[in-house]
Amino acid sequence: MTAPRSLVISPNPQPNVGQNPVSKPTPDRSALDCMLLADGELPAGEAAPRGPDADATVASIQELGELVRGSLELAADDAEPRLAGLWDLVERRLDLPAAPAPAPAAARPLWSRVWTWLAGHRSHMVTGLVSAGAVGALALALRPAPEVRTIERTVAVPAVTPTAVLARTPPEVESIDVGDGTGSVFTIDDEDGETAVLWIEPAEYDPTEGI
Amino acid sequence: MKHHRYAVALAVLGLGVAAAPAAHADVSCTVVEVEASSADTPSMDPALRPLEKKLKKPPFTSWNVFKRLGASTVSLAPQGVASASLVHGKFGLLLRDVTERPGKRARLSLGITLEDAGGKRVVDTKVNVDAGDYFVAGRPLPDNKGHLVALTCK
Repeated sequence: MTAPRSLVISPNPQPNVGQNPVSKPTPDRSALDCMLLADGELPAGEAAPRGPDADATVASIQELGELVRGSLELAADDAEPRLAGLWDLVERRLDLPAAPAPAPAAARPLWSRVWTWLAGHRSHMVTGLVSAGAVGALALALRPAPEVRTIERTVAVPAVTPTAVLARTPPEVESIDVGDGTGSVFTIDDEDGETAVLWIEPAEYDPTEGI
Repeated sequence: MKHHRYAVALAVLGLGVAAAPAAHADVSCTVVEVEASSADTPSMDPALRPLEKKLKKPPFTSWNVFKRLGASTVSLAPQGVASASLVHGKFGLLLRDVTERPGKRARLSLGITLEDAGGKRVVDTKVNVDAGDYFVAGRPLPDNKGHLVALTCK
């Protein structure tokens, strides 16, 4: 049975002469006791290490602990402003009332659900519309020219009755007998035709006629 | 045999109708008596509207007031005679003949006599006019008036 190797922590460490330099040192029981003693955590039943090496080790451990503690306190002081804001944020979050529960999905109207579905398939809808538009444009561009249709219809119209235009003949006066008077023949021509006018001037004028 | 008799009778009757001369229908003649005068305000009797255009032409432009004194219509057969009493005399008419002409109006041969209020013959004339045309006979009256008798037959 081999004795366990001890790690001796001393302010003046000695080189390990004759030992394997790559071998991992094994903590020494006395060193652990020194660290427990330096921390004040040595059990009551344990015997405190004695000797000058142990005292020096304990003093070194205490000094090293002071150094570490001081370094940690400085780091905490540096981080205090940032941590203070973080703590305020945490306190505000803790003070907020509980958020209302979301409405059940079953209460949503049909149109809202349809719109949600359409929004979810927006890309598909746009692709379909663009494709349909392209097909329609091609169909319009490649359609054949419209044919000119000529429809012949036979429409019955009332027969036009020719208006008989009868030729006119001017009036003729074959004979005039005015006795002692005189007669004159005039012809009045207008759109109604010619009108014969016979004007009689009696030889003996009777001033009492017609009175 | 009985049917043959009817057929012969109808044939004879048809030949008789075809061979008969075309009978002239009665001619309707209208006589309108007009008194013409002059006044500051021209006037035309509405009843004289068929004669209005003729009365606005010479020699009737000597007057500007035309009043219808009366009118009468007679129906005459060829060689028929009719007469009409006027306010200023008497009017006599003889339908001498009616000549039907294809494409033209029927030609009427008329004998016309006009007497004054005293029964004295003013004129006796024979005229040929188309059916529907007017013939006007006129003479002066006292007070610068005129006595017009218009005749149309159709």
